[in-house]
Amino acid sequence: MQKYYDVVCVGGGGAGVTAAITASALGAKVALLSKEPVGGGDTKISFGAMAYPGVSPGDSPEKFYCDLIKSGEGLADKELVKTMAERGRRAVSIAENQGLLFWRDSEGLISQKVAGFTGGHTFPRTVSTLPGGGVAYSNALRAATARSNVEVYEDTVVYRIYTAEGRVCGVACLDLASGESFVIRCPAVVLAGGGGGWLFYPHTDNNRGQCADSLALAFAAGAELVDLEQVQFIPFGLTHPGSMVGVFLGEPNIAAPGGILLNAAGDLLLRDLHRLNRAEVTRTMALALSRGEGSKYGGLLLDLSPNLKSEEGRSLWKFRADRGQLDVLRWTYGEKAFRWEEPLDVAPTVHYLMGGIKVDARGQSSLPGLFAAGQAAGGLHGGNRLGSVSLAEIYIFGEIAGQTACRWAQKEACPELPADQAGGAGARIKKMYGMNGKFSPAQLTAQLQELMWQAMGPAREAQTLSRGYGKLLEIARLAGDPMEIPQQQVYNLSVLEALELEGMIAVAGMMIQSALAREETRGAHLRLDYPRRDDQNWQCRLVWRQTPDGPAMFREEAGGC
Amino acid sequence: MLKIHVLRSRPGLDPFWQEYQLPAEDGEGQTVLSALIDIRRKQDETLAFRYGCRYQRCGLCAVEVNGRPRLACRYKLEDGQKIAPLSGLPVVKDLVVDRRILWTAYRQYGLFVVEHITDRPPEIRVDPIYHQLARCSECLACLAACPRYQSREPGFWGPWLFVRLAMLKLDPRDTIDRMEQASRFRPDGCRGCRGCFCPSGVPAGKALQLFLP
Repeated sequence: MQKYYDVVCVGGGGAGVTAAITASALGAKVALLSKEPVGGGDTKISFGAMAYPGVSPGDSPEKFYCDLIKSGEGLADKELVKTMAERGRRAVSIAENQGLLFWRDSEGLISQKVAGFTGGHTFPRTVSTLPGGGVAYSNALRAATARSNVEVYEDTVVYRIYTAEGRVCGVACLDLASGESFVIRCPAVVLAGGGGGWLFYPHTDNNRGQCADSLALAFAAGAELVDLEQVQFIPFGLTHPGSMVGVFLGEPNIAAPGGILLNAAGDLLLRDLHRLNRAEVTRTMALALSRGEGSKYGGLLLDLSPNLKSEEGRSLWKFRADRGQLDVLRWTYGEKAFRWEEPLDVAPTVHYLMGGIKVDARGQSSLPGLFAAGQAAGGLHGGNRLGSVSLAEIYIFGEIAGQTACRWAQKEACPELPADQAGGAGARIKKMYGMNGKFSPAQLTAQLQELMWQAMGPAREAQTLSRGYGKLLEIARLAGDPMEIPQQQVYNLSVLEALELEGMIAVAGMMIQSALAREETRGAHLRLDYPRRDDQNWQCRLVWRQTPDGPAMFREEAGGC
Repeated sequence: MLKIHVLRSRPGLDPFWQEYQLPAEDGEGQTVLSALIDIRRKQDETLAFRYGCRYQRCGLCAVEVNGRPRLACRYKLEDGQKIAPLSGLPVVKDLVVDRRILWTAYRQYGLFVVEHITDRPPEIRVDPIYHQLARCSECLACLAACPRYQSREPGFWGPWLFVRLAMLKLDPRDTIDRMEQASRFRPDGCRGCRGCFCPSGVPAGKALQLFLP
């Protein structure tokens, strides 16, 4: 028995929920499918800082547009940026209409008095929900979902998109809780499953679900991907103990006003780093680490003790300590580290994927009936993402994708599901239970994650990229053989991992090839062997597309800046 | 070597304790979560548990350690610990509890601000405690800790429900009489055990107090 929906939204973060409730409010029959409880993903664990362009006097959509284009280092899609600049103001209202409540000034207004400066923006544009942070967003997303007519399927993994007559006609899903797979017939799918930081675990601050699922699903169905070499790192992640590697410590602005960055030998690498953006600080760190200047943990030393000598520095410490931003230091590095009395061992950690599913300004991918929004979509940020823009993006483009998907579903008939494909998928899952093999999906995933960090880390070069690709091919071969998977159907994490691994291998391959191809340094992509930006040869973006000969990469002229 | 015990379960079988042995890592730093991840990767793939962020934000990894609800990612691993799923919630498998049940409460009790559409953010003054309550990650540790919830009182959703109702009561945009609604759950029936310990620092006790006469 097949279920039918007009629109299926995949991913329960800000973009997926907003797309779902928007489409539903416009009259579509909508299902929201999420691997985890709705309201999760990277949205929930963010710090809750959203861009509110125009909150400061003198700010304008034109100025926001310029900041976004400049940040994208020539790769940002101008149509997407234009949409973001024009509509960006609305994100705060979309979120508050869902039930979120931003921090206000003493007059009860979200004004410039509560707006902060985030690196790369030329005006204070950042408003927040502190102390709740991203968790406050999660609560509002769940409440808004409950308020709507959207039908919710949690603990549910989408592992295949079906197409017929050149367009989307359905999805294959696995209900983790029961272990049963089922099929949904639908003419429109919005992919909003987030980014791919988990490909680099533990060197990521991302949520466990961020396995680039949506990218893999889209590509397998025939949609284009873009900018896959552009991976944003946060410069300051923890380096120890093992259980906490990669966990977020701070942005460059944590160093304000007088913090400095040293290598393990104590040589000065950077001062005034609070004025620099994530990519600039990450680059300096990556270069130092590639020169072998790191600590035994693979980190560099962030010395914030100079701040203790000034009134401004001491009050900033207190500001952060009161808001719990330094708690993680207390129970990993200890009391002295918490008080900034000793240097902090830090290393870059994967934070965001600028690349993703290629979409137009209506959220439409290159495959009719397939839409994407949020971190899963690529092109808006080009080579570098400005802080706080992602949380605005998920509401703006989530809403747009929901509108476009709804219109599509109401206009286009849904083709019949191809009987052979639909039957085959369920059988494939059934075969996995109790499979015997040499390796488990978790073991192969760990190998993939290790090679991705080595090859696609903050500092890349041809040799390690090629070596990494070779290792990936080996993992792909092993994953093609039977893997070791437990028998029991209910909540079988190994089956989940096997499905995720398949997607991670496909996307990792394209990411590495993109990084190998781009022989220059641009945005977040740093090549030690090509340390300069090469506008003459590389003012273009890299697009992946299925061809009769298999996956192929194309250059597409980019707007420049 | 450290020895820990995990309460396993699966449909059709009675729950049973399984012992795992792990090498103690050099120095500090192993958490209950990192141990569970390690066990899955190296010893026992069948073990099921939830986790998300590894640093105390998402709330997915809440379990009971030696009978008390904790966030596994935040709790130090120690020899002899007994790890079990949160009490009183339907167990899917091993340490995984069914979180879908919350939708029943959301929809039945209208735990959302009734549609309030504005073009631009309105002037709103809200008690600062609202923002403290908004930190609730729905880890459900408070349900596991609440004796009244554990007694399976029909329709009672523990401290979590009062936190949600309190947020709505404090939200000037909400139009429902939450005081009246909360009274149906007898806030005065709280036993005052102060067990509603919240790993995220949400003042659940204060939420309850808002509804006491």
